[in-house]
Parts: sequence; C-alpha cells; structure tokens
Amino acid sequence: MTFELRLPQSAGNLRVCLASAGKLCMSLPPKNPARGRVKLWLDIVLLGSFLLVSAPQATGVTVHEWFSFPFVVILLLHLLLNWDWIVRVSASFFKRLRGEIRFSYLWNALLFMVTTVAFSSGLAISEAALPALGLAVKADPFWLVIHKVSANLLFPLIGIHLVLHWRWIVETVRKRRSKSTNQATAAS
Amino acid sequence: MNTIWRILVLLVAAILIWAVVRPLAQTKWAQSVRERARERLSIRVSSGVNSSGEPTQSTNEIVLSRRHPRNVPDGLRYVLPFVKELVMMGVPALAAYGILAFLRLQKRTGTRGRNSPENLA
Repeated sequence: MTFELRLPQSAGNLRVCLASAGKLCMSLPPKNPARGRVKLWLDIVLLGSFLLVSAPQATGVTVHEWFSFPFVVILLLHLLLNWDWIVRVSASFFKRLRGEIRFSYLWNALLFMVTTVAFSSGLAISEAALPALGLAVKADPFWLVIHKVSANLLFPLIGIHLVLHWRWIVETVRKRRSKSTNQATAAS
Repeated sequence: MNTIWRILVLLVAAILIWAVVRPLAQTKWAQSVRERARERLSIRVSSGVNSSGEPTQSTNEIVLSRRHPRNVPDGLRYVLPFVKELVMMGVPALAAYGILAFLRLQKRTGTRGRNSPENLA
C-alpha cells in the first residue's frame, strides 16, 4: 500500500492520496494552531450560551428568547469554522471512510435538524422577542410541545456530539496547556 | 463571498427542514395535542350563584390549573434547571464514551468476532 503526498504550491490544502486505491484522495487543510484555539473558545462560548438559553425556568422567558438569537449566530460561526470538515466528509461519505467519522457526520446532521426545529418552533410560540419586534404570533400548543420535545432532545444529542469530538477537544486543550507552560518556562 | 454562500446554504437547509416539519401542524396528532392542551387549561366560568341561589365567591373567574404545583426554594429554582441540563447531557455522554472506549479496546485487542462461527470452525 503506497501513499502519495502532493504538497501545496502556496498556502493551500495538503492532498493525500492512497495510490493502490486509484482515485481515493483526501484534501487536508493546513493545520493552524491559532484557528484551533479560536474554535475551542468558540465551542466553549457556544456550550455556555446553550446552557443559558436552555433554562427558561431559571432565566425567564424573555432572556430565553432574546439570548437564542446570539446563540444562533454563534452556532452559525461554529458551522462556518468547521465548514472544511463538513465538505470533506460530505465528499467522501460514500467512499472509504471510518465508521466513527460517518456516524459523527450523521449525528451532526441530526443535531442541526433538531436545532433548526427547536429554534423555528420557538419562533412560532414567541411571547417576548417577536411581539417586541412587532411580529405578534398566535401561540399554538402543538408548537409548544414540538419546541419542548426538540429542546429536550438536544441535550443527549449535544452530549454525544461532545464525546464524538472528545479527542480533538483533549488534544487542543493539551496543546494550549503545553504552549502556555513553555512560555512560562521561557519567561522564567 | 465564500462565507455568504456558506451561510446561504445553511439557511436553505434550515428552511427545507422547517418546510418538512411545518405540515405536521395540520395532522390529527397536532389536533389531539391541541385538544389535550385545551383540557389542561380548564376554564371555569361561574354563573355567580350556586345551586341554592346563594352568591358564590368566584364570579366569572378563569382558573388555569397546573398539573404540578411546585414549592421549590428560590435559590434552587435558579440552580435546578442547570443541574437537569448537565444530567441530561452528561449521562448519555458518559454512556457513549463508555461504548466508544469499549469498541476501541475491542478493535485494538482484536477480540471482535473471536467467537464468531468462522473463527470457531
């Protein structure tokens, strides 16, 4: 089994091909530690904002509704920062791919669907945010049920999502810690 | 430009998901959910007099009955929802972590399928 490495001419993607498997190639983006750090911090903020948004019993419905808008923006940033992964796995989903990555991809798609349902059903029953913007909606108990079910479903989905990306989380934290330790040693 | 395209793709995906879910509101299931909600929200309108003709205390009052009246201390009311969230997220996460660790261990030690008929033969 031989591998073929195509190095980028400029700052582009690294292409790794499995020569014995014909056209089985994978494009890897250059590793950027700063990007990893940004992603980690964004993920921490995203998790924190999710926990805050998902507790209307503690924060009140007004905070719950208004905070869901910045939460969606952070979620959007999370997806945009991981866009390369989404595209890469989408392109090679039906080719040879590790089962774990395929499962993770499907799980993430399910997570996106349930989040969309939770957010849009929340808009359909909005009591504070939309009326304040002049968009009064008639509360439908059906959407309330859908909102509750989808929001409750998000907890296990996110929990397992975290486990599926646990290696990356641990590696990024470890790198960050070792870097700060090195800096402290150099300073002393 | 790339970012705008990506946002548009996500937006279209979200709209498509909502377009699939939205017709659920017209189903019989949705109707039954609404019926149940109406039953729960019991509306009692008194006529102002009881059967013997005496005036009642509650005149034209609307009572919203809650199934679970809760007497939770103030402090806990702000903490418990977050505890619930952590439990709901943590328990499946731990279970998934255990399963993944087990699968990885099986893969590493090569014990997967050791007792399969092919191996036993």
